[in-house]
Amino acid sequence: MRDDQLVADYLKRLRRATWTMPRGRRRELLDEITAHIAEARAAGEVPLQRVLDDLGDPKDIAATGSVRRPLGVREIAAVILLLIGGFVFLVGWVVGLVLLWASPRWRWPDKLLGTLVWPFGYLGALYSLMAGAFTNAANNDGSFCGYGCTSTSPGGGMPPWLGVLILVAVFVAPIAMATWLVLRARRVPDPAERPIFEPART
Amino acid sequence: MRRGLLPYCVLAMLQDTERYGFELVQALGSVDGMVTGQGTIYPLLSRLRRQGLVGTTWRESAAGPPRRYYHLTEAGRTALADFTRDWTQLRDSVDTLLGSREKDRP
Repeated sequence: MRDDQLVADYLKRLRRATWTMPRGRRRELLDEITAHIAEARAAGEVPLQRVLDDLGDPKDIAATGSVRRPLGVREIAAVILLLIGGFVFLVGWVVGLVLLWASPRWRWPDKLLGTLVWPFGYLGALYSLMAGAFTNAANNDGSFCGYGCTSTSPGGGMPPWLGVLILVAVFVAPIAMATWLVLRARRVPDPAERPIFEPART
Repeated sequence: MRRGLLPYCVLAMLQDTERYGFELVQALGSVDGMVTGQGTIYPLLSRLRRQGLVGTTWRESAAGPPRRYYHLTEAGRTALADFTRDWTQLRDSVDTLLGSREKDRP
């Protein structure tokens, strides 16, 4: 009875440690460890506690099969600067851009995305929003209609739903972009892409 | 056990016979004295399977639930043969260096 509790606790810790693994791979690992413990208990040669100690810390097992790795300082800095670096004399965003393109953790489509959504991050987004609002107001007013003014209908400009859409795009897109970059950077390259012969390490 | 070598030790253990996980871990332990961290063999086996170096088959066991047996695939045999060649070369080179250092000593 006490042994069952030990096993249940161990598997619970393993489940907790592996929750970020892809579902199929996690299932396979949990099945194999469960089977291992059952085989060892059936063999009955060593006490259960030793079996679990020999298996090792669930966190270590999870780390071996992990598909996520922590972000580096440069990647964190890149994402933050891309979002709000524009407010630091514009240069902050440029530094973020350099970090983005210099990092080996992103492929070029991700880097392009990080560059284009949005240039100068929230500063660029706010600027374009305000510029759009002013143009819109000027159009509605009718008293100011500069170059590129195409609205002829009274009370023209953009419909409210479009305004809301743009507002959402402007504020949500950078967050979505940042989330995407973080996920991509945390991804461990596919094992098939990794050389099998790793230099020996301890 | 050096981590980079472990995958090849696992492949080597499978070259003559298929084995199930627990059996494989025990066999490795008896050769290497790899006492702690046995659990990390399973993510490794999973990786080797996804790389196509080992295959798996479910077989009924005399006692208890069916077992997942691992066997070497053709790609696995090739990888093991390549490693065996590289390893032999490396070992000989290091042995030569170590041998010459021994001789240099007064």
